[in-house]
Amino acid sequence: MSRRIRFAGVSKAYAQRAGGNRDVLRDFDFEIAAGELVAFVGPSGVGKSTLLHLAAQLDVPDRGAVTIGADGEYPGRLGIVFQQPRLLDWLTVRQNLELVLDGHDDARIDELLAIVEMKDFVDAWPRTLSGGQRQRVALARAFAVKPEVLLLDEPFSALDELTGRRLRLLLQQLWLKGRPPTGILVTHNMQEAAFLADRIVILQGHPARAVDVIDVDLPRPRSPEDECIFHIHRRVIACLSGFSQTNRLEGVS
Amino acid sequence: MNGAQQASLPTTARGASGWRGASMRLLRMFPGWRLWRFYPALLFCVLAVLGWECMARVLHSALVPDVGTIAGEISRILTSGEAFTQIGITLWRIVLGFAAAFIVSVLIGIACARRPAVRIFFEPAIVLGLTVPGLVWTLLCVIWFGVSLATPVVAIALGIAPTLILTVIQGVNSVDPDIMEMARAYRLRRVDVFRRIWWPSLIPFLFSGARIGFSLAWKVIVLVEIFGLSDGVGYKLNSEFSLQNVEGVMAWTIVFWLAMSVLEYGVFQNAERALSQWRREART
Ligand SMILES: Nc1ncnc2c1ncn2[C@@H]1O[C@H](COP(=O)(O)OP(=O)(O)OP(=O)(O)O)[C@@H](O)[C@H]1O
Ligand SMILES: [Mg+2]
Repeated sequence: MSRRIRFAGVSKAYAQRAGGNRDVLRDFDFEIAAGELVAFVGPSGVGKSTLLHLAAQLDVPDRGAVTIGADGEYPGRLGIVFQQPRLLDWLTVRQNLELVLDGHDDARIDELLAIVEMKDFVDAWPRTLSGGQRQRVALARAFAVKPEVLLLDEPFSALDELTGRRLRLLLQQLWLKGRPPTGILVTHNMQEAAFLADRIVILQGHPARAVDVIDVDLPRPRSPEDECIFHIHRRVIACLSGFSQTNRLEGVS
Repeated sequence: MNGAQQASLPTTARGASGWRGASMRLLRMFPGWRLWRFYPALLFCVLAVLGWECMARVLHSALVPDVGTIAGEISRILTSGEAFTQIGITLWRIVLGFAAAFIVSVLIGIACARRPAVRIFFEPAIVLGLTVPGLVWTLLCVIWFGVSLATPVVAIALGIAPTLILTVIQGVNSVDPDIMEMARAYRLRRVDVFRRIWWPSLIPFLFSGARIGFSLAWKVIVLVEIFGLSDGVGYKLNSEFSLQNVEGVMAWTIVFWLAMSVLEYGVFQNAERALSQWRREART
């Protein structure tokens, strides 16, 4: 069962060293439907990772609430992929996956590693793998828990273009296998957002607002070559640069 | 294990080209060549023995016995079996005191690293422990506990716990916050976090703590055995000293040093290697 994620009147401020608070979010409302994958894009420092941390319950909002599923319900199983793999170097690939699973499920581990093309490395130490291979393990780990919520914070941005492209395809494959989780993808790559997401939310300003939401109505599996994806990609870029232009003009006047 | 891992095993053992490769091949013709890593250590020992012998011959004094005399004394205490009994007694006391200190230090160290208030609470005790000489703990324990096993155990524990606590705090602080964040996001169980994240991060620190702890413990136990007990290496050292038997003092010291070396090379290094296999196979 996947669950909806709801941000209701969420405010979050961080104390600044120079004194005073920096409002990252103020009365932020947003809802992500069950089984939907939403991409958050926007300039650096706007608060995308903050939103993700709140959804992962790694942090609590100052005001408002982030609820997963119905109110008061157990938040459900959660898979998360960070920009860095964050594997345990002293555990083998298999042990890294076992760690997040309750008990051993060798069949499931083998199946996931086969999908991410890492089957030959089940007993390898993470340090002996390349960056892309480690990130594939991290991706398999996120799906190992049978996630109801999947959070991705720039998962492919540390990889080269071709590896990133391959991993996006693998992610789509994992996504389509079984019941899709409810997902948030944070990315700086607009094409990635257009390829993977159902909706693209463009965040701007301090505190952050959703200035535009672009629907991506394409059936899955999608192809990265699809013309529609380039079309959406251009729209997102236009939207983002349009905003930075108005901001600049406002700054001048 | 897959092929890629095996290929990354040390290239030195495989033999590189040129001078290095030739010398490796030459080395391998000797029996026991696998010990080649230890040759520099052996070289030190040989030089130390030669240096001592020169000094003894030049000074020609009863206070500096020559190598032959010392070796005779060593072989006497070894063949009589006395060395083994006394070292056994002393080591057993060290192990008990160390175990007590270890358990207490891991608990206090983790608490200190986790809660600043706990650390501030224990700080004066740690500074006190680092400052007070082992001799003071020895005297106090001899007064309090007399001739009982409690004397060496408590004295050693008090002597090494502060240092161990500091290494444990350092170890806990070395746990990667990114990994901890991942653990929280995946809602790992407490036991798994301890077993799979904290413990492996602590291990290198615990080993260095254990080494320092053992050497400190030896310095304390000698005093305890001199002042309060009637057996053990320290007691033997003291009785040789009162007989003005310089070669006896040296023989006991050397024999105990040998025992500690066996412990270091045979136990500590192997255990550490077994526990950090991932580090060796990894590329750097
Ligand atoms: N722990 C913290 N303490 C203080 N300020 C913080 C903290 N975490 C985030 N911030 C501030 O909150 C704002 C939003 O940060 P966030 O990491 O969410 O940005 P982001 O949109 O993910 O940026 P990027 O695209 O560069 O990753 C930033 O201005 C940052 O300085
Ligand atoms: Mg971020």
